[in-house]
Amino acid sequence: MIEFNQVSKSYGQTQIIKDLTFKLEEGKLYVFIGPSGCGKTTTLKMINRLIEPNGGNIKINGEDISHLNAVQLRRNIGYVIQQIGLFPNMTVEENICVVPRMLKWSKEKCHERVKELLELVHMKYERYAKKYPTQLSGGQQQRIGVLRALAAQPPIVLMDEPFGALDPLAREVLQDEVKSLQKKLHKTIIFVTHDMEEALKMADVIVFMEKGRIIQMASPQEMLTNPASDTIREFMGKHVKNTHFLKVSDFMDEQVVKVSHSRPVIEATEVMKRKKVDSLIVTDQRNTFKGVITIEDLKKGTKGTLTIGELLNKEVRVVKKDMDAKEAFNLLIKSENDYLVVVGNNKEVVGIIDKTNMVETMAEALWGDLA
Amino acid sequence: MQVLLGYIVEHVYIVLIASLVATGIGILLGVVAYWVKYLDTIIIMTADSIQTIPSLALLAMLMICFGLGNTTLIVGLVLYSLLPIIRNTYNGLNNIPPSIHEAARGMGMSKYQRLVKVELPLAFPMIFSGVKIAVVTAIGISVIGVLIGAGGLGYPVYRGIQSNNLGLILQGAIPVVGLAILFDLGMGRIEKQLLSKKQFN
Repeated sequence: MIEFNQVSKSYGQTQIIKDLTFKLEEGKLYVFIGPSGCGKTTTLKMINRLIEPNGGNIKINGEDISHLNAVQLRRNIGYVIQQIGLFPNMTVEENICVVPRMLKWSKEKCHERVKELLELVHMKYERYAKKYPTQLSGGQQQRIGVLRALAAQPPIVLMDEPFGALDPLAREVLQDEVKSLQKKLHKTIIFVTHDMEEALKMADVIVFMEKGRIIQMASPQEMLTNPASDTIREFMGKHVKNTHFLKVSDFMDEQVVKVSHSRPVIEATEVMKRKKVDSLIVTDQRNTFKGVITIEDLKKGTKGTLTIGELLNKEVRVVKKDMDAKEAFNLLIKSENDYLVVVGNNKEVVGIIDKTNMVETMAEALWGDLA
Repeated sequence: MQVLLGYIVEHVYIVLIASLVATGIGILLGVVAYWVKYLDTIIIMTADSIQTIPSLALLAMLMICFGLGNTTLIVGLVLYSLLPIIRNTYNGLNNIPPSIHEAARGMGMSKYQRLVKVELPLAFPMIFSGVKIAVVTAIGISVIGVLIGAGGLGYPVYRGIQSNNLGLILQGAIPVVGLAILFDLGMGRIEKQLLSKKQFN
């Protein structure tokens, strides 16, 4: 549907876009993402010729767009910008109808279209159509901005960080709405953002750009599991930690209170008091796991017992640090203890997981980073 | 009394014709200055320098081309009125947020459509205040039109000075002041309404 062929763009000495070649298929939502200055917005604006490339060509449905009339071309491509850009001198209805009117639609047809579109986003015609943009909230304004772009039923819609200036609540609602509109209307949407969360949520295909080049073009799932470069991995940040691939070591607590098995019992009591815990991990000199010791165990001790090792409780379950998180969670739930001890390949203690870690991990997987 | 009314009507007529023509030319030049970036300084500087010429000198120069009468006065008033209108049109158009501009372009509006449908309506309150300044100034200046044979309220004032008749001077002067105040207040009110319109806030 949209085809870039060795497209380049530079301003003076700085080359913004370098030999860009790619194809976008019809009916999909493409999210262009990357660090600022990577050329994603320039790429977008070259599609409706707000920016003209220096080299190469761009084809839409096989037709080189540089041979088309720019004004005509733009009327067939929806355009949504971050600053919304509704015309303050026009009502909501007039704003939505700008492109249809230029395409010589009849008044009745425009009117019908406005009604239909407002209904799509659950805004009442009677209540909103005659209002001016300044009388609407930011979220409502951008909703009208999206409808305005869809009004003349263009097959392609360009969205340049459309929700960047909205508050988080409105942003989320609009993301959902655009996604569902896309499913209903099968538009080819090119969406620019710098927010990976948004990209993962919206995209059929994520196009990652850096320094004027495309680094990776893949589905969100593919990009999560298989990021092509370190920059992408960095951009994904916390999102890379897909729950399906979580290991015990990803969420264990490394702050472990340990004592050596050869130390006198009195020392265990001391440490417990000082660290305010009721059980300790017992290891040998090489940090190999030996067992745990709890307050109950200490009470069993008699005057004859000398070292911690003699009172050792070996019932605590041990898990390997690269065990699948889900398996570990199952063990933890079934276990009578409050925690599991995590050991490395040589049985050395590397951490523990308790139910708090488990809840935190699950919460993060569900709602993202809480901190 | 009837004579005085005739002077007032002629005075207002001259001012209105001049303002109308000046508004047309001024908006046109303001748009040209806005569209053609390298012309903006030339246009505004020219209008600026016309305004620095003393009005009597300007009218005298114009008299050479246009002869005696109302036409010369109207041409002079038009030249005087241009600056505030050009400047306000230019500024009004340039003050439109770039996002509106980009949206209009991105939606496929031609340059002309952008101007007529979006830019001029948005700049209109500002253009109108330019016109107000022009009209009020023109009311005052046209009094000296009598020196180049034009009609209006300058005539009783001039005759009053010649015959040392204070009453006659005031007969011309008071209506001039009245007209200026009337137009200033009336147009100021419209201006305020335009600016407070919900669309523009």
